[in-house]
Amino acid sequence: MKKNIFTLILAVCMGFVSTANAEVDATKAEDFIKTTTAKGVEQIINANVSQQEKDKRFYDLLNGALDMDFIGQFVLGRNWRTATAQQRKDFINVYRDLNIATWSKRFNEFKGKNFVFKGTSPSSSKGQVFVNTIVPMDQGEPAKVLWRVREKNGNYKIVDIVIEGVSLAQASRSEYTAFIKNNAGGIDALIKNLNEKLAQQKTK
Amino acid sequence: MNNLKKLAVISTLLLVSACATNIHRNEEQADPFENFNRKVFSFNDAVYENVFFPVARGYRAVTTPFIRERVNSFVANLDEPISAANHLLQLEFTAAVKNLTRVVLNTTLGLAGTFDVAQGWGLEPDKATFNQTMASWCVADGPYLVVPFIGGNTTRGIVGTAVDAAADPVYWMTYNDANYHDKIAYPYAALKYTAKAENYMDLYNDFKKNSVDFYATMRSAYLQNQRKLKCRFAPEEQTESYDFDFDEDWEE
Repeated sequence: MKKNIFTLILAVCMGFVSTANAEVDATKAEDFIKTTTAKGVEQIINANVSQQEKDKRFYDLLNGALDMDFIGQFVLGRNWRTATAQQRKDFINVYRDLNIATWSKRFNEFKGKNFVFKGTSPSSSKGQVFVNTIVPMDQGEPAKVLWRVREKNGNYKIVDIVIEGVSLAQASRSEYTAFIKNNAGGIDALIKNLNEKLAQQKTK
Repeated sequence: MNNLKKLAVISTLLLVSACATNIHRNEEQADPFENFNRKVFSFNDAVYENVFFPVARGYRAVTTPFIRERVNSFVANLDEPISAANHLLQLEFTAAVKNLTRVVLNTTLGLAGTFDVAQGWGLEPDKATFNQTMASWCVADGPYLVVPFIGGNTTRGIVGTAVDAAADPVYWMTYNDANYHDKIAYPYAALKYTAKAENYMDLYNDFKKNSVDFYATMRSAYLQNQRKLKCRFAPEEQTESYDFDFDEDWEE
């Protein structure tokens, strides 16, 4: 009898373990990053099309791959709660466009380079996993790039990119929190400033 | 020798004050001297824009990428013994041996370190600093301080940089001969820091252009970099520094 109870407890525990692991499918998350980066490299960076077409493709790719509502909310931090619905909408829009514009320029430097996939690591946040990649550099140590992926209803989206241990979401959050704290205009001033940065990006 | 003694005393004082603070704090709390730091940061920015970067641009104009790669390899090779020593102090013996093997191979077959031949044979570069060594022995990082000319640092980072700089092999190899010392150590330092500025210039300008608060962005990048360093006595299940709670504010 004791043995049976023990088996039962073990089975229940195993059940828990497998549900905990089943929360997010790491293989699917890795496949999602593989597809996204392959598209970025083949159809954009190495493609023989105009810069305008590249920008458009990049916009579509990142807009589909990034969970902007989720990231936007995180980077505004405690200021999200006090923001009005309009401010939230305006912020998310400009934050998305500015990020896509900045990254489309940065990704051009990845020409001729490839992401090497190094498996996944678990995250302490629910429904999230890290996909580990390295990018071999022309010289020196290869760069470590981690993709934080969040699963929701079977869809996978990127919520953070961690380069050499530096989380971009955390860096943005610190930057925007400091800006809002030091500016009387608060969130509106931040949105205005980000729009100016976006306009500068587009003119270049 | 007196200078070394002074350095040791200052280091100990800084370490004791650093130990009194907690390792995990948020970025604002880690920066109690923010007003002062922002002033030094602006000063540094002016120095970089008006002195360091023009020199770096001049260096870029008169060299090809091939030559700059040779210079970077040459400098990295001379720093390799410092990495080996730090790996030893961190009890990372395999890494220390790898550093030493790299020096031998690159100095000989790599033509005085100008070519990283060891990397081609699978011996990847693996840099270690005294700051990492202290972090591995659980010395806390201390408050964030922007140092004139050098930039953002923690008190532990300042001690680390000072110790690594004091251990510079070129400085010691030429130490006993004042003539060689002036002719080699100073031009070498100038070359090293020009090459460094050339390497960082584009990234610095990219961040500057895209930030609404450049100071906060640089501080975040530096402090996140510090937090990823692990202490050997920490509990095993310590999560990675970038795996923070990414759900706290979420409302559907």
